[in-house]
Amino acid sequence: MFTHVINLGKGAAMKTGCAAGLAADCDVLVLMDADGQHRASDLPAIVAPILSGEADLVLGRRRFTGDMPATARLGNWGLTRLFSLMFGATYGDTQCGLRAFTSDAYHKVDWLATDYAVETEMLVRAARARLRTSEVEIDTIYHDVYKGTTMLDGLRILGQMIRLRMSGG
Amino acid sequence: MTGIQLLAIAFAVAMAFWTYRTYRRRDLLAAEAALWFAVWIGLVFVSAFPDLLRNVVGPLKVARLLDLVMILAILLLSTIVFVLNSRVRHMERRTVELVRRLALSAEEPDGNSKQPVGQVQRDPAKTAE
Repeated sequence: MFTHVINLGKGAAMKTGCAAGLAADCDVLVLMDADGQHRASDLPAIVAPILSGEADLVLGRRRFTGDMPATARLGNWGLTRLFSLMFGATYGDTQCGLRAFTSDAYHKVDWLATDYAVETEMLVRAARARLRTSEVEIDTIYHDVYKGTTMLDGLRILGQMIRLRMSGG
Repeated sequence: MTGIQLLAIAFAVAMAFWTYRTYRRRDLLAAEAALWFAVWIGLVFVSAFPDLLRNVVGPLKVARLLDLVMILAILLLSTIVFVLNSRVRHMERRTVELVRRLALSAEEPDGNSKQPVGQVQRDPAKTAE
């Protein structure tokens, strides 16, 4: 377990985890949200396209069903459509936290965002680097108390998308 | 001398005193303190002797002396905001790096160190060297 002595944000925590994985000579890095919304049983399916050499980056794709809070569903749907419009790459779910990539791919998607904008930035960098990307449908568990991205986070992500687009995305 | 001139002079003197105290506490470098003193002295000068600068206003195509002061203030503030923003970003980056190194080098519950501070390398090729 690696712990930041102060909260630096999700993106920074993910980067620390990846740094630890690289230091341990891991070939495949898997990212999973820590709020318990992902099932560990989905891990083999997420890693499989990488192990078989089909993909450099694998994204989890959640089902936008009634289980997902309405605001989160709307936000995810909107950001995913906007991403497609702005960057020309279409993914089923740009905000899903369950994803895996090779250590080589990590150097190409290495992000600067320290907050919830990290998922979007990672995909922009993956699209620019023309990484082979695959998507796997996953189950999502939503608890009574939602602890994920808020509407304000959604606006921050939108701002980050605009910045990335203006910087040549 | 009008009320606004007296107010501006009093403000500049107070800020100069505050700058001096900050410098004595070593929160400002000598060059930074000198720059701020120049700003406050300039403000006193402009406030106390506005007529002396009227000759400057004409060639610069500025309508009024107050406009010139406002333009200079905006330029100065823009520069300060830029410098502060870049410094905050720099500090933020260094804080993230420090916290990350602390996290990666923290002791395990059994007392074993995970990894020496500063040994994390992003490029696997470097690790193999």
